[in-house]
Amino acid sequence: MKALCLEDDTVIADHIIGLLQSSGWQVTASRSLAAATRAITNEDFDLLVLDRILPDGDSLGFLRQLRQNNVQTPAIILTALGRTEDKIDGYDSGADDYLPKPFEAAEFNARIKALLRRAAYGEQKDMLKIGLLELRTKARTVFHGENFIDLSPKEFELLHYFMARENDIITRDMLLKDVWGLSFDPGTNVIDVNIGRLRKRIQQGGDSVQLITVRGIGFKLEEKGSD
Amino acid sequence: MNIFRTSFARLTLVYMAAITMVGTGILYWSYDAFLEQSRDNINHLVDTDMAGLVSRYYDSGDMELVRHISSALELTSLENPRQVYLFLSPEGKKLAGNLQSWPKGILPDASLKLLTVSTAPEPQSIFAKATLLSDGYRILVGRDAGAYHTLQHRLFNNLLIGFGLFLITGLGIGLLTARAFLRRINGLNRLCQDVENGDFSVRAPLWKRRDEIDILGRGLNGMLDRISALLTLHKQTADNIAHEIRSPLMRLNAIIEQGEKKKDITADSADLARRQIEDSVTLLDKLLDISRIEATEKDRSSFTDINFSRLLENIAELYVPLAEEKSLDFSVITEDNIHISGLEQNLSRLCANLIDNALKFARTKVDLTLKKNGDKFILSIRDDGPGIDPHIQDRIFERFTKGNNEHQTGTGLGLALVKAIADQHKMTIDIAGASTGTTLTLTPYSL
Repeated sequence: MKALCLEDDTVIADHIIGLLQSSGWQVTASRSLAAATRAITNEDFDLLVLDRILPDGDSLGFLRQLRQNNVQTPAIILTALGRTEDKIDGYDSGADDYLPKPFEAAEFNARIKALLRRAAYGEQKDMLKIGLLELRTKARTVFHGENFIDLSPKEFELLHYFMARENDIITRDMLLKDVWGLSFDPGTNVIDVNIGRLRKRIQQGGDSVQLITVRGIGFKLEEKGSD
Repeated sequence: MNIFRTSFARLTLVYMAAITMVGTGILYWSYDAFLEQSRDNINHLVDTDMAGLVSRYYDSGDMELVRHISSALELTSLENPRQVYLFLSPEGKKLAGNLQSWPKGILPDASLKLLTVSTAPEPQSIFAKATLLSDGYRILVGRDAGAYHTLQHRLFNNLLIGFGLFLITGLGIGLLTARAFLRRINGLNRLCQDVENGDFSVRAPLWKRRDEIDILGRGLNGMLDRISALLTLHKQTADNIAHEIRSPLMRLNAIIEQGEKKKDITADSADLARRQIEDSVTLLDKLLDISRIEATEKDRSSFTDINFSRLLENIAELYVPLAEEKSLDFSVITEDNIHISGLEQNLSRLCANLIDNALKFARTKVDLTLKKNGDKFILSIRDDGPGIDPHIQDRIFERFTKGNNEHQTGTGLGLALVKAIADQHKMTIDIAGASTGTTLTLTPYSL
């Protein structure tokens, strides 16, 4: 698996390259848009990790150009511009994810993993199953073994999101963006409270799966005793 | 600035030259018409005289004509303009008249000529015409041109005076207005220079004339007002940021020091440290968001039609579990299909902040209602919390305004953000705070 890392700050670049390499990536590093353009014309990549502001321009333009040329390689933007409107600009330009600096190593890994999953999903399965927990997308029903679990439409959507990403760490930002369609942090612990409620609902059906909190990053749905 | 280098002075000079040329042209035209009229009059007199003399010659012969000319000259010596006659025999001998010899430059072709003839005591200017009679006799009839010349002189003098007056008044008025104009422009130039030197308190002088310079001045003043307000705001914000960012950094420092002492950082303290960093970043992001929204307040180019009812319900739904956790009665009543033109993320953020705030302060309940009001709507959110500290009531929407009560946590930016988004979407916010709670009402003033 090959990744292109476009970052002009050497300290941060080394950090990112280290993270990617420890997850088994083969990394090509570029420090400018020009170098990245050269690299991308010579090689095929499976992942693009792009810093936003570079000495020779904004990488959003570069990404937009790639998307216009039908290059669909998953791309994540890492940037100091972390405002709501910057994020919207990023997604509009064809970024698959947008991670503001400073970020945690674990969060970075979780995002990359989710990104690649998302790229691979393509078709949707009708029945998702983890442990005894079964979710049917068309019928919109959830059972734990024999027990029917009554969920509100939003809770169903939330659980579906987790079940489609079994064992992945899901960050708060991902939930906000993908489930609620929000690109800002509403503050307080509103996401945690929603997750808490979903957790209770699942537990009402049974305990073969658990929705755990991953400290400082997000949440994960897994089969009990899976690790 | 040199007055002659101003475009207004140059324009005035060009205008003045054009007016002087046209004016002088008109004067010259009337001068010429006057002189022509005067020549016509003389021509008419000479013609009548000539016709009389010619018919007398053919009726009564040359001797009778000689006699007639002599008596006419004696009779009319006082007449003005004085008559001039010369009657010559076929051999060129003078038979009668007051000229000594046939003047040069006149032929007997009956056309009027202006001539100078030598008479005593000084040469005389005359209008004359001559004709040939039968048997070679020639006769010349004329009138003294002295009066004509006097008229010509006077008219020419008038022409010169007119030209001079045009030139002087044009130049004078032009330079005076150019100077007045320049003085006003210089006022604006001085203003620009002062601003360039860093003084933002200066304002353009206004003349209450509502002309283009006053409009320009008013425009500049409006700009300066806005810039000064922004500068003050930026300064306050910068001071506040410096102050606010210190606290998480201090806490972070404390955590690191503790970790150093114990030669270990526990997961809990790492979490705490991480939260300090997150808080600082959130603070900065929020500030940047507010500034960006304020800066683009008038740009509505990316607005889209939004079902505000649905948007509000979606956000409210996000907060229902939070309200339940806090055992608060959270009632949401929205009328369907209320639309607004705006930015979805910003409006969501506005709603989220309002609800978040109300839930934070409420003791037992929060009521959120959205209802139609003509072609607009009223959004109101009420909590039964402690109300707003009267000390901060009028600063409640400014950045970093926080109350003193124990519930007050957070950045103090929430309501500033709400206000910025409300302004962007042309909504007014009314706030009613009492000891029994706070009610916030948002109404768009134009949809």
